[in-house]
Amino acid sequence: MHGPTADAPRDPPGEEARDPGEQVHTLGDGGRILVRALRASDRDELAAGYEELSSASRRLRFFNPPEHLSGRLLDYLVDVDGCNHFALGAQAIDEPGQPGVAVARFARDPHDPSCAEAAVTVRESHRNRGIGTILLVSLVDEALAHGITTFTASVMWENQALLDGLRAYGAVVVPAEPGVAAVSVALPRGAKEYEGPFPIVSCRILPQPVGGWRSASSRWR
Amino acid sequence: MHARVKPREVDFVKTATGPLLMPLAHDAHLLRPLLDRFEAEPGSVLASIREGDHFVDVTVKKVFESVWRVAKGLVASGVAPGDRVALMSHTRLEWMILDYAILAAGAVTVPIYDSSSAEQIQWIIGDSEAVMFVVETPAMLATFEGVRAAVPTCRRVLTIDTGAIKELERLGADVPDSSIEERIATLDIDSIATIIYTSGTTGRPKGCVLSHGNLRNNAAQAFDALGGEVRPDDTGLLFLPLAHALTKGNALFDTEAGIAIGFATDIAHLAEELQLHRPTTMAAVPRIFEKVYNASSHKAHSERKGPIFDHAVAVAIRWSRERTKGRVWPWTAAEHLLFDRLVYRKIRHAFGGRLRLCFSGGGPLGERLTHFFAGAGLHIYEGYGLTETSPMLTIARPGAWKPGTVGRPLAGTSIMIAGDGEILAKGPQVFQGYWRNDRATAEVFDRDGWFRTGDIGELDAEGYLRITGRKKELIVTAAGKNVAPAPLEDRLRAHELISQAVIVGDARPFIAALIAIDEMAASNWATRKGLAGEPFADLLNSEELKAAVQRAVDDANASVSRAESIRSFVVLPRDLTIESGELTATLKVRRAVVEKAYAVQIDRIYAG
Repeated sequence: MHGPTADAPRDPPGEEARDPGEQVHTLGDGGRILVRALRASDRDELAAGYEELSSASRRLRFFNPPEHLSGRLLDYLVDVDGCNHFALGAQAIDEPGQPGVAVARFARDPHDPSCAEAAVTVRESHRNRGIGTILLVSLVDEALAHGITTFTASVMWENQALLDGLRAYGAVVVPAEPGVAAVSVALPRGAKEYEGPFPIVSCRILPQPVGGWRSASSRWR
Repeated sequence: MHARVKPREVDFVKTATGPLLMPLAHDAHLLRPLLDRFEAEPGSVLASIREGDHFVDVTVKKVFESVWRVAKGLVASGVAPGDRVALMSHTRLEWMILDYAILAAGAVTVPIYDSSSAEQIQWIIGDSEAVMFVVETPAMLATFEGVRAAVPTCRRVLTIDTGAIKELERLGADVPDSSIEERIATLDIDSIATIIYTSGTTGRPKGCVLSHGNLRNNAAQAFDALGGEVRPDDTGLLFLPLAHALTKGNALFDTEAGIAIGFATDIAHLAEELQLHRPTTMAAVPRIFEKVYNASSHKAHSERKGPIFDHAVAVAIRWSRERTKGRVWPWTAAEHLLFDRLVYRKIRHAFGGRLRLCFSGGGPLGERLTHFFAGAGLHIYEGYGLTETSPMLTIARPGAWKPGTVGRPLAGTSIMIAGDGEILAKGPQVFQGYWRNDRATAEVFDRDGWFRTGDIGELDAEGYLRITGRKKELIVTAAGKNVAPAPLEDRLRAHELISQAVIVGDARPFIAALIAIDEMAASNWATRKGLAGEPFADLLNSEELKAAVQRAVDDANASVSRAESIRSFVVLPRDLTIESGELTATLKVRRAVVEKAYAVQIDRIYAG
């Protein structure tokens, strides 16, 4: 196990890491999730969550998924600096043990600081509840606060649902290597004034969230 | 990172459509050309087979009568209309006779590659519920016996080499002609002719259901494009597996166009049999052309004529490029003339010296090689298609030949480029769907009925199609074999020592693997093996570790045919990292970067 020092966010030069705080969202089906920054103490749960993922899900997320997340990979996934590599976790607070159910992250492109690669994983048992969308909205907010204006992602063409969803956000999807699409999405500048298709679209892809969605979408309206 | 160049999506679509195609008569099933030829010209040559040092002709009559007798034997064995009969054999006349006989009995042919693994055989026979299985050799029979208990629907197994044809003919001796006539009368263009299994990117192979109409239309489309080029004395040489849609389409076209089909005995004897048979037409995969080029180059260099050969290659390419642009410069023409006697004639001779209509498919033939062969006097016409499209969608042809493209759409065929670059197709050769797999079928057709090829391409202003990428995570070898890397990589990674595996082999002669070792697991393993304390770098080079990895490779290979199997592997000096760009910042493996980083090691695999 790693010591608590891994938990301390490292301030990058010239930029302050900010604490996104904790937010409780109520999902469309009435369940509640707590969204907060991922901590080094989440390491074991992340490893366990990976073991639970089906091989199909692993493949869509990692392409060439390892059998187990090795110590080195786990370190990388939890040891985030909050600025160049930022990760959010969602906990189902109404369930026994308040299990972690989803992770979303972005990692800044070292060659172009205005770009970051984003990725989201939701446990199979908690899919289609709007959790991924809530995490993405928070992730976009965080990215904008850190001067990131474009999200990129490598997505397997087989992941048609995700590509369709991203396209609705205005994503540009182009072929990369065999099997893989390169996606880039310009993040809405001045998110607060944004009135684009986003809320409508997400209602189309995901079941209508009621409570928690308001807190997320209110910031966009 | 691809993020640095801001990608721009093309948001308009483009379509190209081939000329009009005459619709087929409703009863224009696959036996029709054979029946017609039997009535019109029973003495004409349908095929030729090797006997000793020459090829001997086999007449339409002889083949037809054998087909008829074998069909009766199938009926006598209880094969009912619509039943599936699996056929595992390399390309030979008996394959063709059995295929036609299965169709004449109203049944469906399910071809299996001669090098398929027991797992694949079990899956294909189980999924298709084949009632009978005809194998070529006792060895294939032995492979099947190991899994036979798992496929109870398969009631009978026959072996070609131990007299399957005779056995069937004997069984059918008492069956009246009328029973076969009745079976044939029930066939129409919508009847299923064959189910060809293709590998998906994950999971089990899927059965492509092709109807009599699909295959006959494709032969008619090929005839529309090339019929004008065919001469009465043309002969073709067949050497690739008839289980491959390209070869099957080639054979059907030859039969309809009246081109006698020579059956090569074995691909290993191809060089020799090209000289014996001297075909005027043939279809091959890029690997065959590469082999001829490499062998010629090697021979020239070993005879100290390397510089002459290399110069001749450059001149051939220059000549062809200039000619394509419309003007050959005098100096190029002069050099070209000189090398024609010295070098090009020998290249043409390697193919028998009479080859006039030469086709390539199954994978991309490089533009350079296409120009080289054209300069050497051998135009190679490239086509494009999938098993799902029977197989041809586009083809280059005399007068419509643009190297680097795969030609224009065939008659009755429309090609559309979707917004994301995917090639979509419509036409009478597009299949009905995957065998008992509606979900997979729904995935490959869009709302308007366009078939999604999974390939990415562009159409130019003249309607030529250029293939630029692939949406499917598939590797296509130079031998035209589609290989899904993911299942192989999964099986490799299941081994404790292996942390990452990347399969390579796109446009290469065979499949190979790059394997990264888990340092922690290696150290545990070393302790168990009594190698504790050895530095990681030494462990990586140890024979013991290589043997352990080889066992993992063998295990992965047990699931696939020889053409898909990992023939060679390299143990990487370190694991894949983000710093090197091999993993993205969110830990996704980037194959292209890995392949570039280890280009030297990969080249060494294919050089040796």
